[in-house]
Amino acid sequence: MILKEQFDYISKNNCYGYAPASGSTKPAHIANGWFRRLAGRTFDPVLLNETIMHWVGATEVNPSEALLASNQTIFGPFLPQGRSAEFAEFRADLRQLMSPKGGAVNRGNMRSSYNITHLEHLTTDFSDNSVGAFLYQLLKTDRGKGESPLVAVLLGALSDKSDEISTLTTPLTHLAPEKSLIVPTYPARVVFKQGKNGFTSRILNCLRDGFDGLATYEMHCGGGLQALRRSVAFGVFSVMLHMVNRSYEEQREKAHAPVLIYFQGPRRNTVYQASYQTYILARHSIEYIYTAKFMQAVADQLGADPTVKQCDRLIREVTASNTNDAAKQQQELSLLFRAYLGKEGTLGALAQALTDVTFKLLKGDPTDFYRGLGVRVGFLRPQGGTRKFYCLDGVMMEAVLASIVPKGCELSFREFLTLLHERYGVITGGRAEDAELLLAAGIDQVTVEDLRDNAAILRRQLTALAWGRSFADGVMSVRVPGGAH
Amino acid sequence: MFYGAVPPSEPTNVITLDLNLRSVLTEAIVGAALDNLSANTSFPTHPYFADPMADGARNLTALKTSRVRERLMKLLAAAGHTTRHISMRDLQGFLSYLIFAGGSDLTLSKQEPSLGTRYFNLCFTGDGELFDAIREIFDPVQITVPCIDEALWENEGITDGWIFSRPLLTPDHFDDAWDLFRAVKREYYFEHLDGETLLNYISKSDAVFQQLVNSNASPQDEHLTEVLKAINRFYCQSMQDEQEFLRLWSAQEYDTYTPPVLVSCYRVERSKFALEVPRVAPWLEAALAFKPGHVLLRYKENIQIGLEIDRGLWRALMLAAQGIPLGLRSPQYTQLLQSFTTKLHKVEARPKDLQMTYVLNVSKSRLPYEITVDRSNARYVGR
Repeated sequence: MILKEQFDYISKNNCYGYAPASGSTKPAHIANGWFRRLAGRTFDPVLLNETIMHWVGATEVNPSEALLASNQTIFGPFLPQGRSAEFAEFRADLRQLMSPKGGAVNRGNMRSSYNITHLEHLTTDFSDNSVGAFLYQLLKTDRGKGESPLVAVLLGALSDKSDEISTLTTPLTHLAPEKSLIVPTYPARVVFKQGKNGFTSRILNCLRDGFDGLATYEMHCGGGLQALRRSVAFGVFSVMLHMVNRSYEEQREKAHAPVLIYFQGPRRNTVYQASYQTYILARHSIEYIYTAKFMQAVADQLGADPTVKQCDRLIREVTASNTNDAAKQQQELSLLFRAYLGKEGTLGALAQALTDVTFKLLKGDPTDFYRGLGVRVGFLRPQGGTRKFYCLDGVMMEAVLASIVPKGCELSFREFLTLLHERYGVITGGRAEDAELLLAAGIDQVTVEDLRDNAAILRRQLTALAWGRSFADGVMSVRVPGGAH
Repeated sequence: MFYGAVPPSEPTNVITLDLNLRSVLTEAIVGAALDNLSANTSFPTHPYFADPMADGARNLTALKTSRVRERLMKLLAAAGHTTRHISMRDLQGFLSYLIFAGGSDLTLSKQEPSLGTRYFNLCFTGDGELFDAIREIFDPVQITVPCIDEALWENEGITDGWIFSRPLLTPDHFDDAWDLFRAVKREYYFEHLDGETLLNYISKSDAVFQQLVNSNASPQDEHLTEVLKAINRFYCQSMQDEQEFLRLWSAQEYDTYTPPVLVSCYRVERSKFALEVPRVAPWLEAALAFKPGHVLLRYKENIQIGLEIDRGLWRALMLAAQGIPLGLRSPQYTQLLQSFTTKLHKVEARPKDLQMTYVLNVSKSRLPYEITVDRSNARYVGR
């Protein structure tokens, strides 16, 4: 058994269809992987890459003189002597404009993802770890009414070159060679399995409904670059919910995993602690699915109740590309197996040990992937040390609102909160049953008063964003903003 | 509620009113509520009011004086411009709290006199939407006027002009100096002849916003300049002729980090905007007291496009104009502005073959620079 291969098999063919094995995957990587599949093509904007990649560390990898000399027609205004500082400044600004924070643009387009505004920015970069394929499949699957209308919205926005960033980069991408892209069959067939009412997975049905709702909003009230931003925010939100709920569905849980959103007020309260606890539950769920799959793999080989000897033999069969690594892994497995034996049966102990050692081998394990994406997209906020809480604001808040509030409808605040929970498992504390839901999940140290305050902050945020309207009797309705003034 | 010059025609059938539009913080309603409360015939017989030096009795007496009533109404009027929804229940609860300090029938009789149960302190210490609205806008103790503060702190000067008598407090001499000063400063606002002047010191942005929403005459000229400048400065602190147009800035980020570089190709002329204050139809004015909580920046060519500027957004714009870094700005208001400019972008972005583009690096304190893009020949042509 090769642990990394086993992990990839579980992730790609069994659980998700993608490998969440990096803590540095960024929303821009996912946007690139998703949009290029929707567009069915990729580009190689070499000049854009060379212009942006001026320095790598202390090395000038693309000197300005050489760039100007070989592209005199394009960079005309920077050619005169004495303009080199301005050209360097322009290149630096372009880099900050097109490269996601933390660096997703490298030398060459094979490993570069840009802050995409146009098709010509789409590259073959595989840093999305195939998450783009998951979102592509979610939108393209026909549940009886064809693909999601969001596909047309996104392609429309990506084909439009009138926006400022596409305009500024036009000279650098205009001649980028184009390649067509064929999207292969989704590797984890079980994920998008369909039944009578669409997907058999409840969370996928809800997320797809959300994408369709978002499309309606974008067609009538949104569009443009904001549509791309909201879609990616909602896409990342979907991936995160799916990762956790996939595990819940494997355990035959009927409800969605609870996600308690904490809206920051003047002082930190018990909702913050409870939100952190729901985050811990989510991490455990992700770990659980790998342990369950390892257990299945071991049971397939050794039967449902293997002896310690049989387990030891299997541990000795663990191999790696390097003999030393294999020996180290075997030793760690053996130690962990024995440590877990006291608490669990042989099968459970070995599966748990295999999960732990495999996660350690990765550049980033699935829980790191979950955390990293959540923090970058603004769904998780770090607060002192390793603590995180779920939050919802800005673009992410608008995307989630657009996904559930139908155009032309006014939902009462309570209806809105119910939809938020039924669709995504998101809890805010505004309903009496929220405390019970948290209690059922084992979270009992949150006060009803703090939950109410939390929901009151949400009310204020909805009003500030123009999605909420308060009436004289204290009732608030939630509706798509805009309309005739 | 309507915007612009032409009110909706008077309906002939039954109409449904959104009472949320009614502002209860008007002089008439607050005055009537105060009258009703102070005219309660059971008060004089209650032991709490029997002793004229008990806090309840003193609170009631003060609230019956015209000066305290007038100051209270001015304070509530200012609080009425915050975006908080204040119901009649909030107002009644507030006034009741000013007299009874939240005490019950049983506790009131045993209550010892204390500065904490005097109306001028209670006004700023209760819980609820109205209290929050007041605290948001004004608290005398947060207004620094050295000559007044010194006199109150040392108990020297300002001996005349009080409705009752000068409070016998000399904060300077005591351990609880700050509590005493807070009380005497608040009392000064309500009971001293010149106390009202403290209201003039509320933040400049609040004062301008109140002018904006109270401008009955067409606010186009003077205030439209102010609004366009404020929105332009939210993105760029220094653009020429910033009051003559609204520049549309753009950046693309898929994560939550604030974009350090913005680009702009388009701007919308000032003449395409109108600034309108919401009003109630004239045939409803007598029935519905109304206090506008926002102004609408309307794009004249499409009534679907408008930006409602309430106090929160206005303050965010003013803070931005003062140079608060992009990363510290409220994501809600940034998003609201972005949605507005995106809508404008849809109708105003008319790409040209030769497109002048501005690039602004907000992390570096320098002016935006321009570069022209020749779209059809895919090259840069000037800077």
